Amino acid sequence: MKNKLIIKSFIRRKIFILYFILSIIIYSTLLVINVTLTNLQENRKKNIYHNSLASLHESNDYYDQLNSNKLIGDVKRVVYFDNLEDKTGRYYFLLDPKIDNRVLVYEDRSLKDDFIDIYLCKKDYSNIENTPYQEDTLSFSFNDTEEEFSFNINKLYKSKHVNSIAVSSKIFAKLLKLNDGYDYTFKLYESETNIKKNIKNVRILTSYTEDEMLISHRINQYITVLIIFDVMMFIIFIIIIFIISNNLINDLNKNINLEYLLGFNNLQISNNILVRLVLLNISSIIIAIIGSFIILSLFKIFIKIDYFLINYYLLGIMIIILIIENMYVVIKSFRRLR
Amino acid sequence: MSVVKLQNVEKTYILKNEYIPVLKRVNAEFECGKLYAIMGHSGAGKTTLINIIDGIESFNSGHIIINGKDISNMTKFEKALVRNNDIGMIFQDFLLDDYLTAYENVMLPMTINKKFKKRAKERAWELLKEVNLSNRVNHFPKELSGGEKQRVSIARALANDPKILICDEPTGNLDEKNENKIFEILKNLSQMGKCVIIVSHSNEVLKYADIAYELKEGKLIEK
Repeated sequence: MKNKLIIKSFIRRKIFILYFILSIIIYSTLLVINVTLTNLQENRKKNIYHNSLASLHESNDYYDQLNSNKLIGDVKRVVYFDNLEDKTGRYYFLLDPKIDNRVLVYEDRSLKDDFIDIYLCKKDYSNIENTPYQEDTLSFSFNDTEEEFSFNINKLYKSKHVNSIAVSSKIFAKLLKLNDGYDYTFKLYESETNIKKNIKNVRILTSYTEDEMLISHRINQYITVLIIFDVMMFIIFIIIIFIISNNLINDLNKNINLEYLLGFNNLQISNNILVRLVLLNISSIIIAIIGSFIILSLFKIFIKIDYFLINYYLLGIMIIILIIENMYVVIKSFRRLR
Repeated sequence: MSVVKLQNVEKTYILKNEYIPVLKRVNAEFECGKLYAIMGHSGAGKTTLINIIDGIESFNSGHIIINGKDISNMTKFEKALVRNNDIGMIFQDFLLDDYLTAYENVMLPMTINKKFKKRAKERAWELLKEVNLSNRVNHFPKELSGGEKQRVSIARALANDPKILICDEPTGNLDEKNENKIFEILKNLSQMGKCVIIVSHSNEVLKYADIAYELKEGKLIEK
């Protein structure tokens, strides 16, 4: 009950309402900016991931290391055929110039040993989809081996990336043994520049089309603007917190003095100051979280927002700053006591 | 029986390396059932004296016994407890919480008092009734006149049923009519068994005082 009167007295002040509204505006702006930023960054990641394919050749096996690298995903072991024998002459595009006129080979566990699936980019796919490809036989080989691998075509698929084929697990295992070194393909979560810094000898096979490039550029611009805005808001948040703290010390001075004269001890007075501050901060943070969810729900009508998660890292920093503020107010108020 | 005993109390301020003695071996006893007036010119040390009795200010030597307890060597926590249990304070500028209603202001000191915590609300209403403010219980200080504010302040001072009431210029901000009303209330309280100590400039207090002191050159002299 003792806190009830302290709270009543505090929340009836115009200054409390002012600080409360100000805090809600700042906290919710920060949260909304951060959720939007997270969404844009995730979208950028998705965009890059969806559009990208990179390859790597190493003399040692780096499969596990690549799998644990958070900048990349979908790491696959691959091999390359150097030669293609195609009597129909329709499948020349399998020797892709992007991979030095070789044929990219993946593993597909569902395939039978004498069949392959072919993955083609849109243009090549449309050239061949209406032909009786099931009757065609294709033979592949390595430059430095005499062994030849012949297959019938099981199915054609569209692919966004380089043209490739898939073989059965048994064949793929055999090809791995014949391969000189280790080859992988993977998708990227980060920009090419970042990946090149992180993984030596990486070769980017596909990235954006012009349209995709434009979208990506726009997303990058938004992200930059939002980061600047975010930093500015954070600085404003710290300044406002400092101003509120100092004003609170002055506003509460009379109350602290009164409580002291009425026989509240120092511990009770400190507790009362803390109750007021916690009420102001916690209630405004809770309302800001609810408010930002409402704002984001409204945003969702107009823009795509997939991630509604609160940035706990930001929330943690905000709470630490508020705890420091609270301690500052309590200590400074305490010193003013006679 | 005396509830406030001052034994050789001395207080000296040090300002810019200059020693300014305010209280010089002050001895006095204040009993229940009496109204005491402490007069003196501005700067004589009246407020210092009552702040020392309240335990708000420290003193250099001597003893102060409040309701049988020597506060001389008490910690801040113990002094706060004495202020809450044994002393009711009334101030010139009322010192009410502007954002609490009259009865909430009266309840405030009871919120930390074991004796009255549970029935604080009822007691606040009763006390406001006693000072003829039953029609003002839900009013905020800004909605009350100066005299009414001081009566709320008196009700608050009585909240924890202290034996001692210490009033620092209680009528300093009031007109003559309200001044007499407040003194009458304080006189009644002393007749009901409280020890009322009033520090005042106003000679009007002498009409109501059982014993009057003058604080002169650091000494408390009975008039």
